[in-house]
Amino acid sequence: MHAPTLVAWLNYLLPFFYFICTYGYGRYFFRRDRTSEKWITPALYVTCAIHLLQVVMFGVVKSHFPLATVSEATGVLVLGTLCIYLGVECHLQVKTIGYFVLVPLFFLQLFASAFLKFPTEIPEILQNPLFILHAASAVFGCSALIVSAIASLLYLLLFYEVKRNRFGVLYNRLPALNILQNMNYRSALMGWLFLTIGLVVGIVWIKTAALKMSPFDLKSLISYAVWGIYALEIVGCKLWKWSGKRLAYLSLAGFAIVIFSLLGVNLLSSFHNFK
Amino acid sequence: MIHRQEVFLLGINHRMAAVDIREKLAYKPAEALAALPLLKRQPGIQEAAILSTCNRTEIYVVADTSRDLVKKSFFDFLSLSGKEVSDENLCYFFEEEEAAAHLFRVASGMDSMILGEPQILGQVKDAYHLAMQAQSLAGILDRLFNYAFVTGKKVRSQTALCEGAVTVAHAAVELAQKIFGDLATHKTLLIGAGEMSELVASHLQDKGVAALYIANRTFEKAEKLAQRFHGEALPFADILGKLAAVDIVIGATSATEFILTRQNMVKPLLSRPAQPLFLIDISVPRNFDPRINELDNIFVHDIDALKQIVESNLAARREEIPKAEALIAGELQQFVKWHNSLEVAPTIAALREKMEHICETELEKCQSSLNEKEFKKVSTIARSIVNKILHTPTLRLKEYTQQPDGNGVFKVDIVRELFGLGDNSPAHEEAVKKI
Repeated sequence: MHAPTLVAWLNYLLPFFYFICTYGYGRYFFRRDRTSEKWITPALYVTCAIHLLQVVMFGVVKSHFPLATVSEATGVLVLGTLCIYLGVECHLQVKTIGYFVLVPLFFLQLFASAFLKFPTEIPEILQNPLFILHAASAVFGCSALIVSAIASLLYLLLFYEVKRNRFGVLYNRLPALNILQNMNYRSALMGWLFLTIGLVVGIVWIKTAALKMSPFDLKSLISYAVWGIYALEIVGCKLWKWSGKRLAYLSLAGFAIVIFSLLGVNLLSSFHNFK
Repeated sequence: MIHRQEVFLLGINHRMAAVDIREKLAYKPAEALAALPLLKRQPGIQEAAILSTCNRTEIYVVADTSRDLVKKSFFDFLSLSGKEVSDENLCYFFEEEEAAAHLFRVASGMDSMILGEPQILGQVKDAYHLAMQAQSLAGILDRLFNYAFVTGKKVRSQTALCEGAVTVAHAAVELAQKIFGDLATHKTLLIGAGEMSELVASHLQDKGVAALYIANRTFEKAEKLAQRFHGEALPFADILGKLAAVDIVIGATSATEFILTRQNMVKPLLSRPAQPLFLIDISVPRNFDPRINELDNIFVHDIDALKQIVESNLAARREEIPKAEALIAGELQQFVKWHNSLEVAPTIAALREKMEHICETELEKCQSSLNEKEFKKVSTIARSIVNKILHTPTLRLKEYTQQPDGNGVFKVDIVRELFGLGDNSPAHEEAVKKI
């Protein structure tokens, strides 16, 4: 089989793999299904390996890092999120939040697979190693922030369930508040580190490429704001021992701005506003 | 009439009889050890085991006699061992599959007063070891108990029948774990030194809580409890001062007014880091003002909330019953299959013995006319023919034991008659033991 055909096949198979994993994690969460508990993590590793193969092969076949289009970037974002989630699951040995991570990933991958194109012309900018590092760091940063936002959302849901004496499925199946707080903090820290790398590399790249960026480049301003919010969360947690609830709200606020930046700004203009 | 060896059970449990009746039939381990040989001496009884816990006394035997005789032997044994049964109707009597299924349910915690309670499997194991010690177990009961252990373990590992707290004290600790996760890094203040405090302290100790402070109006009582659970006793007046240093506060006193109110909590909270504080009130009347829950990062739960958790966990356990029943049915099928296979073992052994005897006799007849090498060759061929002839009938005989309605037994009888195998000989009994 030719490499491009294989890439296309893998691309169409990926949503199916994500669906199977989502279904398994759902069964485990809602029905406490012990059989699903056994196969879901290996299935997720297989999905991750296939996705990685697809991304690498696509890059090799097309000779560029797969960030040229929104669907390519979405695919990489999904893969990054999956890798970070697998790391968290492996570290904390908690599988019950997998369902909440996989539902958005399934839909994102469905979008990425449905709209994946094979561009004939690759912008010159995508051949620049500094730009690749800048964009890849930003995407992996977003991946970590997705996990952080999901952990925060679940933290708040469980927090209010317990506070209001409601002991339903979330109480029974979610891990302890402390674990969710830990998950939020670690993913936020990872996301913040990637964002920092992305921002620094971005600045260096602009300088070396002698590009002039508008001081009102909305994307950059938003990126600085997001970086500041997560920096505040990390400092607040480490130095001022802020509570899990405050950290969760900060994570969600930061993530809401990321979403606005990805959807709103990109729809209104291009990625960056150069003079 | 020859009866096959079957499992019988006579028992009394919490569903059938009140504690004053149950306690009269209870066997302490030493008593059971002494009683088992006596039970084994009853007519027709070959194997015996006694399971005696606070909720049940069950006597399992393997006997090759009639149901009525076994029942009589059970009651004779109870009288001989000094146990009194006021009303025989309070006891249940099961045989064969029903008895095995009952033991599997017991070992899985399905028949316990609190569904899925974990201690019962250990108690079944104790009963087994006691019977081993008394040498009252042989093939069938030994195998039955081992199937019961496997069933109990499977139900525990493959279903959620034993998950979640089902007592108020345990639910309080489980709720604390839902907030803090591992309690090993969290400190607890226990207000009160009564029975409920003891239970909570015991659960906290099991979870490895970092530090346990106990405050009580009577300081000596607090000291006593603290000593028992390796905690630290506090004067009652120091409660508010300690709030900054602890993460969990459990109130279990008989005080008629609030010990902690919204007003007196404000000042200690200022000196606390912005971390959650968890207050569990298991007293009636309540010890903690419910309005404290309005404060940020503080969780206040009373006994009703804990009961709600217990109810929810019990409901979740009940939902697991079909899964557990399916596992029990699977293991029961395995046991019945194995037990039925014993029935045909003497016939297979007799058939083989007869064929081999014919083979040996015929070989002896021709031995003189053959040299050693030729005789060896002919012997090998003859034995191989016997094995090949017997292969299919052996398989068929084993299959007959799985047939319902006694049809298989009838076919086995025909085989015995056809080959003139007669009744079970000591050699056949030995074959059963080997299986």
